[in-house]
Order: sequence, then structure tokens, then C-alpha cells
Amino acid sequence: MAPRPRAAQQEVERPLAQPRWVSFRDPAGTVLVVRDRILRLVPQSGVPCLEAYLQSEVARRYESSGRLVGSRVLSSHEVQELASVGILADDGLVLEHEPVWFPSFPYEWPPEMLHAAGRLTLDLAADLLEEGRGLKDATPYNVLFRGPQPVFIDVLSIEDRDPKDPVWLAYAQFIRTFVLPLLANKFCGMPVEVALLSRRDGLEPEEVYRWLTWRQRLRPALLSQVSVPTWLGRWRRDDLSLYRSRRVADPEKARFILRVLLARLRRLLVKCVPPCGSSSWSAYETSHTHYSAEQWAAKESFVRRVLRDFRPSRVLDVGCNVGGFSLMAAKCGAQVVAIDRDAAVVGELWRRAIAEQLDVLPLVVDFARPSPAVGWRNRECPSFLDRARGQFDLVMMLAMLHHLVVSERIPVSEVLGLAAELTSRLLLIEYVDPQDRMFRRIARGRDELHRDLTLESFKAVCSAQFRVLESFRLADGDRWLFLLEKKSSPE
Amino acid sequence: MRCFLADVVVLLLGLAVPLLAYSDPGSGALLLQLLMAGVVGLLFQLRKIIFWFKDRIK
Repeated sequence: MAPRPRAAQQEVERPLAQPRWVSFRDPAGTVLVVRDRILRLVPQSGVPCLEAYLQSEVARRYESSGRLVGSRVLSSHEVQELASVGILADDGLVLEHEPVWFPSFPYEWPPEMLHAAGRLTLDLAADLLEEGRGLKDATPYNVLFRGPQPVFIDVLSIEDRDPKDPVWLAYAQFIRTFVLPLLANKFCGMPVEVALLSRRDGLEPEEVYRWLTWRQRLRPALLSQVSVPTWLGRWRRDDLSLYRSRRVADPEKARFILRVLLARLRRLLVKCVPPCGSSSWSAYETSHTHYSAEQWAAKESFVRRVLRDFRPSRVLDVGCNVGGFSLMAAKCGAQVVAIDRDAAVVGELWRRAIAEQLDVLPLVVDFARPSPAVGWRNRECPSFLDRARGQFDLVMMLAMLHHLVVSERIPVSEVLGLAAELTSRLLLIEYVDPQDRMFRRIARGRDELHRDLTLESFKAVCSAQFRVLESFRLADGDRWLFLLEKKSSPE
Repeated sequence: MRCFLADVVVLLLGLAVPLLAYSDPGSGALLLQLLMAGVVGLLFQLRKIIFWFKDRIK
């Protein structure tokens, strides 16, 4: 099913009488958001199937393990309340879903997270099959992430299946939205975020086929998922009889065929597992080439002390790299959203967060070009900034400012202005002086452009919206850490 | 055997009932799935025959 509850969860305050409809593709039900409540309206025809599913063993198991979003059926009294403010419930049923904090979209996930979402989809499809049910669609928009853990959110995707039907109609969609973006990433270097940002329904086999060399077209995974479907598609392109229902005589046979198909897809997904990525930024935290050992230890110690003293509950780590400081914040009890534009380091952070079971949501987001609002009327998936504004009580921008100032040519006042929109209280920012070796390296001889940037001018810009709580020079170097508090923040 | 042949005919030609899906079922991918279903269906029949013989031997 298409993007929906997530699109709403970050909805800014709206009057109760103005619900926002965020799902309209699935005829079996609609989703709307009323303030921060996610409501799903199900017509009477779909109620028996949904009620049976909600009481099933699979639903209980997945919900208790956090792999399925929590849902509850609203009482008639609650429905009447909603009807009284203009929300029509018809004669069906209204479900309320637990909100997942900070929704993210597939085009913000590294390949590792897309892979994890695909695995959850297949696991659920396989378990439902044993109960005589199935998934009618298979798109990554059916999944959100709670920290690093995927959560299936689209309960209306679950349907009773015809026991004699041996075909999974969502198969092609699973291939388009999970398998082909992962294969294109692995074999063609096509970033997952690029493939999925520009295409709601993923990649077509014919499209990927054109990007491959003849040799690649014959590799097993690509042959079965790209080349053969492309050739078959040409053969029966105009044959509409293809789109007729198929049934076999024996229900056990239909189930056996689907079981084999899902097992095969699981094996295929394993072949798409992204290798531990490496990029020019992967070794940044381990080599600390821009810090002496003493400076790095001082930086770590300062950040740790800030996290322990102020105990922020929600942290945004901008330019997180492989996430040493994000993990540190999560260990101090914070829910962390960590962003970086390098998918390799974000994927590495996701692996670490999963391994250490820490509440870190790593996303591939370029802070200088954050994810835009996309979808129909630009309303299906809100922009990253719309979701992030005011959501955090601490924003960390460590070793980030100089990249924005030098490489992106963004004025310091703009950077601090945006930081003030994102944080409700604190900003921990690293000032890197133009004399710093890294600063000069990325400036590539354009030192003159940054002649006016000094420690004093930086402090003056900060004072417009923040007051300095602490500042700390890293072991007599050209870098300072500033802990700033927003002037308008509550005491 | 008659059952198997009936399944093959159904898988390749389909029934006169249209698909009920709102997600795009694809074309090449759907055909590939039908072919795989045919092969796996054949394996299912063979497996049944083998089990039948095993039961008889016991």
C-alpha cells in the first residue's frame, strides 16, 4: 500500500475538524491523520477479514515483538466523537495505530535498511501463508523504522487468500521496490535513494536491463530478475489474457508453490545483501586524521559529559559519519536520528545500532539538500525538515559546520538559523577555524573567501539566537566545541 | 495426471476471471512467476507420487 500513516505522523498542529487524508490508493480502506492520531477507516465489507486477522496468532506474535504496528479498534463512543467533528466513519470500523516517532521513507534508507524491510515483508508473508492469508502488496512504504528496527504498518495489506490461488500478485512489486533497487545498487552503483526518490513504485526490469553489460545480464541473480522478465515481457507484452486469475485443483499444492516462491525470494534477498560498504568517509572515526589522539579524547570526553549532564531525550546528529556520537547519545538514553549523505557510513551505523540494540535511526540525508516533500500534491511524504522541525532537544553538529560553509557555500548565520528551528533547546556545534588543516584542504586554495570567519565572528552570529553555555578548545588546536542554548527555549 | 494437466492449462491460460489487485502485477515478472509455479507444481506432483510409493512399500 502506498505511503500513508508515516506521512502524517509529523503533521504539524491542525484543527481537529481538518483531518488530513494520507492514503487513497487501496480501495479497501483509507488513512487519515487528526493531529497526532493515525486513524484507518475500514468499510463494512473489510471488517470480518480485519477482525479475524487482528485476533490471529501471527498478529499477536508480530505485534508483541514490535514487528507490527500496534492497533486498536475505536469504540462506538469514540467514533461518534470523531463523527461529531466532521470525520465520517460510514458503517465500518475505525482503527487507531500507535504512532511511530520520526517516520522515514525508503529513499532515506541505506541498502541495509531496505534489505531489512524486505526481509520483514517476506517473513510476514510466509507466516501469513500458513494461516491462509497473504499480503496484497509488497512495497517498502508498508514499513517504518522504530530506531533501527523495521515495523510493518499496513494492516490492510493483509487479506484472506483464495486457497487454490498459486500466484502472489505482489511478487512483481516486491521485485520492483526491493530487489531491483538493491541489485542496481550492488551491480550498477545506483544509489538506492536515487532510485526510490524519483520512482514511487521502484525500478522496472527493462530499465535495469539497459544499464547492464551483456556479461552482467547473464549473472544468475540478474538473469532471473532482470533479463528473463525483460525477454518474457517483450514476448507477451500485449497479451491481456495474462491478467486472468489462476487456480489449481489442490489447495495444498497452491500453498506449496507459494512457500517455495517465498523461500526463493528470501535466498534472492540474501544475494542482494550489500557488502560492508566503504567510502572516503568510512575510516574517519577510526583514523581521526584531523585530530591528535589528545584532541579526539578531549572531544569524546566533552560530548559524553554534555550528554550525561543534560540527558537529552531526542537527539539529531547531523553529519553522523559511522555514528560514534550517535551511539554515545543512545547509550545515555536518548532517541537518536542520525543523518549523513554517505550511504556507506549510514549503513555501517545501522549495523552497529542493530548489533548493540540501541535506539538510533540512521538516515541518508544530505543536510545541505534535505529530502523534499514528494508524492501526489507533494503531500504524501513530507520533507525531512518538516518532520524534524522542533522535534529534538539537542542537535549535534560535530565537524560539520566547515563542510557546509566551504563546500556548500552556506553562510554561518543560515546554518545556525536552521539549527535553531530544529532544536527546542540545545545545540552542540564544533567550530573549525579557517587555519585548520581540514578546512584548508576542502577550501582548495579559496582561503580568501573565508577571511571574515573568525572565532569572534562565529560567537557574534551565535549570540543572535543562542547563548553560550560552554565552550571548549580542543587541546590548543584550531577547533572549539560550543554548547549553545536557544534563547527562546523554556528554562 | 489429469489434475496436473488441468493445473498446467490453468496456469498458462488462466480463468476468465480478471485479477483482483490494485498493485501493478507486472508482465515479465508475472509470466516468470507462472512458469516457476508450473515447475514447482510438477515437483509437488512428483513428491506426492514418491510418498504414495513409499506408503505402499511400507
